[in-house]
Amino acid sequence: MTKLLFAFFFLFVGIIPTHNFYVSTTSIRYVPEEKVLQITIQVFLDDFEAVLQQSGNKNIKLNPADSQEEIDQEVADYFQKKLLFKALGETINFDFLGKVYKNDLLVAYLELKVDSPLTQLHIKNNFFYEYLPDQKNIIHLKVASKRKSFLAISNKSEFEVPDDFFDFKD
Amino acid sequence: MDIIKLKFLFVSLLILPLSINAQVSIDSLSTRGHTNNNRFKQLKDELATPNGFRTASGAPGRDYYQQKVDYIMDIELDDENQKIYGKEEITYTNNSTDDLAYLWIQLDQNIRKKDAPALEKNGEGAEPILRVETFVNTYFKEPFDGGFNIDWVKDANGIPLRHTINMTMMRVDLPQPLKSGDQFKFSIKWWYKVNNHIENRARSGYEYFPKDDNRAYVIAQFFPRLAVYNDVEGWQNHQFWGNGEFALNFGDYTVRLTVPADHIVEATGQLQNPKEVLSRQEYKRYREAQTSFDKPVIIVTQEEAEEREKTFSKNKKTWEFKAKNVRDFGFASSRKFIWEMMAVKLGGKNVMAVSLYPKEGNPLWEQYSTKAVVQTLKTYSHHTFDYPYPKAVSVHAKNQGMEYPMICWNYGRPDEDGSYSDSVKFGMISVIIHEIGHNFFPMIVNSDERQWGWMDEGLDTFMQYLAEQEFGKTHPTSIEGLEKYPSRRGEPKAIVNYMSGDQSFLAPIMSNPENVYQLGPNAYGKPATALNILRETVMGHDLFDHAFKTYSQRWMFKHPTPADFFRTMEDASAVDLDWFWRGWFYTTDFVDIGVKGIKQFFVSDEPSNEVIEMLKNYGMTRADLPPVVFTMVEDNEEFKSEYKQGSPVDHSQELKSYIDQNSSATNSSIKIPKYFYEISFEKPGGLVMPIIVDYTYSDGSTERVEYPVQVWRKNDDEVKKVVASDKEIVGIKIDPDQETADVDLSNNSWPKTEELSEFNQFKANLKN
Repeated sequence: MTKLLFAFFFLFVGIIPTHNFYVSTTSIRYVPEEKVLQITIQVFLDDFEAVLQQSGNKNIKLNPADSQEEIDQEVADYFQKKLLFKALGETINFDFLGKVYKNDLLVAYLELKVDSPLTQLHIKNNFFYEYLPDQKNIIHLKVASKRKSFLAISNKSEFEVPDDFFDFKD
Repeated sequence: MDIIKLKFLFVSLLILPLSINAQVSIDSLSTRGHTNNNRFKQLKDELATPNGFRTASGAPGRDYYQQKVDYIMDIELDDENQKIYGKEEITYTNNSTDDLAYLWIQLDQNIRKKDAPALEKNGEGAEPILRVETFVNTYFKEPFDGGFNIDWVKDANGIPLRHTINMTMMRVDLPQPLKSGDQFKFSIKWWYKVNNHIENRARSGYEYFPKDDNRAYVIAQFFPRLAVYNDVEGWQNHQFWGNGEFALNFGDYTVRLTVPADHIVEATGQLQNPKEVLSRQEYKRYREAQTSFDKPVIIVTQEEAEEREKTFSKNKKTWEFKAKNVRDFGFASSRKFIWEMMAVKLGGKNVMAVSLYPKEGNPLWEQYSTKAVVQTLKTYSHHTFDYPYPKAVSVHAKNQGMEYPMICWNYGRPDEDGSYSDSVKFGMISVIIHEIGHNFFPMIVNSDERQWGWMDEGLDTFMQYLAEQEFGKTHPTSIEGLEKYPSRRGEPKAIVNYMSGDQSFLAPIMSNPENVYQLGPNAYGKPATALNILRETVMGHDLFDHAFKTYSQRWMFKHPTPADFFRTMEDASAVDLDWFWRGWFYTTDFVDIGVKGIKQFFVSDEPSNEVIEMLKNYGMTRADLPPVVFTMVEDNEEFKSEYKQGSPVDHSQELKSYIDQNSSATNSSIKIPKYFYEISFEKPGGLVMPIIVDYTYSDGSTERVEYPVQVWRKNDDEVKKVVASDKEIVGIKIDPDQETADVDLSNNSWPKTEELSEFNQFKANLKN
């Protein structure tokens, strides 16, 4: 598996490998009246399993039939390490609510509480780069009817949400 | 009152909403005109003018031609040094109407030369974090140096031909122009170093198994192949950059593959010398398999394959294959292969469904591979044409899925202890269906993949969805615990995430595969969903299936273009789909249709101020009008609550007398509705679609109404429809079955129902 990392393998992908391209989506919905960001993450199961195995837990399997306690812990820890939110210079922590399996995807739900209305947000997404340099992470941000997306790649994985994004009306 | 005036009034009564709008816009009269930007504008500007080669109906024309290229090849696989040597004799038949001064040949292997420009095609710069070995491999080591070594190019008399290599293309200059209708014979001798396809995720190469020191070869794009010359591109000599796959000619192949004597080989075409290359027992099983219709016959068992992989023969054997009317040739060779096949009856002919896999593929492959091949042949044949080739082979290769005529490579490997998850199992079945399905598109309906990835990937992924669903029904135990086969692509709601994404990362389907951001949804998922929506929602099964089959049969063993597909689908169905192609294929627009509001209106005897004002403009009064009915919405200032009482007939004398005169025995079809509604629909999305609505009434009943897409012809933002009913409307829901890929469901209902988002649903479940 480690040979997968050969630097230019991405050149020849186009053939319909397991899933054509390496990508995750992180959808974030800001709900001001509840003072929360609702975060839904979708990652490919096989990629994620390989990443977790490489980052220490060699025997972990993301198998829906197994006991989920240990898996949930590993999954939560990984997202805590790789996903970062900051507002006004302060890191905001989030809670891992849980995850479900959907075909070849793992869908995780995270919730982030904010004390005061958001006026600014800094997002960093570092999923899988250590394993798949070609990984792309798409971030969708939504508040009321406003939408904004970012494409995170290994050498550009941090984003400042423009301040005017938070001037919204329902 | 004179007749002319009266006529005029009638016209204006009919078009009242429009005439009011027109007056408003006169105030802000624009000084600029515009071209036709209507979403229903015909595609005349986008599609090439029909001609003798390709007709306006989307069929091959009377002047249609295609080149024929036949190959006789002697290939040797050097397993010890991982090299392939080849000598090929090419017969090129110029069926075109043109004389050709040179021929272009594709050298796809040259993408693996260490100085290939394709290595530098991306511009994303330095990575801030890299694994040590990646870093070393990238910056410290020489990259793999592959690519063709061309020993010589000679004509039929052995005289060298001048040739020029430009990256992945080679031009062979002809001694004199090849006249229309003539043939040219020449030969090429070459060799190249085989790459490890696991390391660089290539379509062709070997996988190395360190435990037994063996290799499994899956070899393709391995010989210099003629480029296509046709009426739409001239020479299709767009370079191979990695994503845009192949444009290839049909022809007949005779290929002699010389490999280590203990290898098992599968390839495009029929094996000519089974008796020579198989053991006695293998041959006997091979014969048996030809008439085994209920289950596969194992020709090489796992035990035999395990025995074989322990020793390394120094001897060679030559396997000979012949294939008629194929566009390419691929083969797989290894000591490690387990081999099974069974017969399938298709249109009175027997086709062999074959699987070839190392023990590493078991226990998954022995259970599902051949089953998936059989299902694919059946479903696809039903929707297109009977599979015309003698066999279809599914070969196990670790990480990839890739298609060639009659043979393809597929992933899906259990863990070392033999366990596997559902996602590995369904991934494997799906990829086998997909790659075997490619026999139909583009191996037989031979579109130009270099230019249009969607023409084969999209059509194939659409058919894959149908075959997967059938597979679930044919093999219910394979989907135990699930309602149906878990198809990843095909259902409208599965494409919503992509289509509602940031526009800066989207490209229209009609884009070259090299230039799109997300090839998966772009060339596979979105066109497949579009066709599924055509079949389920826009055209219906009968019209769609007939048109799709017509396209497949018209272009079987020929080279279609997008226009030929678009035109045939309309020509065979009498459904004008230009709006659909324009929106779904030429733009990145998405579907979002919402219900904006509902107003109840009532019948009255008195005109509203608005009507009085209008009459005044024409110099008319109430008395000038013929019998008319006035209507008024509830929030109108002049509205009187008594309008709500009783029947509509009670509030309009003229309506009442009309009914009285007409509802006698002669006309019993008159029914007096109690409720009148005007419902407005908005369309924040760019795509036009039919409006599918469920109206729910106070008695709990629901009525499904479908307004044709043409309702958006004259107003792209908002349209209004009237419902007259005996029962009160209490609910409205647009696209209730989620069949249109509507990206925002929050505006689909009245009264607005707060549908729990997936996130909130998950949270609610946690609490329970």
